[in-house]
Amino acid sequence: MPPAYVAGVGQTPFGKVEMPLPAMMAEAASLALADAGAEAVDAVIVGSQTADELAQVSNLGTKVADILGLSGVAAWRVENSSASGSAVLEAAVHAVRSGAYGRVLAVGGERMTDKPTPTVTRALGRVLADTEVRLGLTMTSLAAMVARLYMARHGLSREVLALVPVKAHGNAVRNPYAQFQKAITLQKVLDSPIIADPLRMFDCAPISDGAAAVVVQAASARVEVLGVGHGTDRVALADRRGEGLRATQLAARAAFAQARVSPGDVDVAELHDAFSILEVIDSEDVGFYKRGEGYRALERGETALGGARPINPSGGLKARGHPVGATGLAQVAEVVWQLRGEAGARQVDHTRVGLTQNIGGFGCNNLVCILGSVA
Amino acid sequence: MKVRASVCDRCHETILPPRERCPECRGPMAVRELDGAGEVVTHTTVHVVPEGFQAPIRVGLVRLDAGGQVLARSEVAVEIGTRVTVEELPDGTHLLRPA
Repeated sequence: MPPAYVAGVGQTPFGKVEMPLPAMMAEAASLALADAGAEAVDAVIVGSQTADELAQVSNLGTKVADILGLSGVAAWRVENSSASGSAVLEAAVHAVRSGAYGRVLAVGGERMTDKPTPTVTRALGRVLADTEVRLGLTMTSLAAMVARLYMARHGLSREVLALVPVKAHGNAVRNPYAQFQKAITLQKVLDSPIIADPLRMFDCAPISDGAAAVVVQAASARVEVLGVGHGTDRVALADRRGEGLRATQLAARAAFAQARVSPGDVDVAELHDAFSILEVIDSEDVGFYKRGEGYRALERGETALGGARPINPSGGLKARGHPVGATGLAQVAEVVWQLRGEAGARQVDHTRVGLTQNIGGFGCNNLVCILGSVA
Repeated sequence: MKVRASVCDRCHETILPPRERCPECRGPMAVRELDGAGEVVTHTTVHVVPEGFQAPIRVGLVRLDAGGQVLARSEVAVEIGTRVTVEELPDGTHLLRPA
């Protein structure tokens, strides 16, 4: 397969960003273009889950291109729920590898904080199966059932699970883009309100605004996209079989096969921790740990900054924030900074290979991207 | 107590509620009435619920002895492994009761 390189990345701060969605996405895109030293691109691909419903905007690709002064080029939007960002990256990589476009601007963004929480929850909940929506279930309800099952089967305690958000917040203190640059204690997690038993408020990613962008090109740059894998699973949780998220397992298998590296080669990873339990399960699904051992690695500190393979040095979705359509590209931006040695106070030592994993729906449309430094 | 399900002619997968095509292998599915007896695989009590619903909502994922899994509401607390009977309500949703 012809190579595709990341020439530049950028993101807005995550949290509350008082800008219309197209302008916010153009802001992240400008940073990525400047980082790439690029004035022109051949196509613009944008991603957002809820642009129509929450930001009340459509024709997003054209609007972002227009603001950026890129009118004339091909532009389109990809909607792939909370994996919209990674799906944009995948489209950009294939657009470049196919030879159709030499340089593609990939942008993801979401504007969520200016709407009441029930409105946002309803918009996000549209990804679920009808059978789940009619029972009054939410994303958190499904994550809670997955958490309870994992805890019972593998002996994960509530206290150890709380180490995921504690680690996330600790890392985010070192990330100037993060929504919560504030450390939290284990007790704070355990004392936070129950959303869906056993998950509490601090197990869940927040509602956020933000945008992130990546410039992908055929010409050589300092970071190469070694592989992008994409898998799906049955939409309804009750219809799924087997442990973990099959969509991640399929995506990881495809990404590693393309990249010709193995999970043991990965130096740093950004995993989709929309709920604390997911980071543990993700770390097993991508092949870092055997089933039931992800939380033991967490407990030993292997996934902390300074550990053998840090996971979510950015603070993850929990503490960097989760503007859903931006998340997949923010993960890529973080890994690119890590690979280029530009991650500042959260820099991981000796990074050559990095991985991102982004979940769409409740775990049924997932992507894995593997990036490598160019020697 | 019977619940409506569908079974794939090709791969024998069981899915509730009934549907025409298997989500996995595209095989045609035939509607079957299954016995509602099963076991709780996992469960939660939801305290923050969407607009139009009243908290708390108790729900369990039930593996039916006859095959297939279904999410069902519960009026009482259950545990993993609790033996239950699942009933299909007129609105198409499911309710579980400890056996």
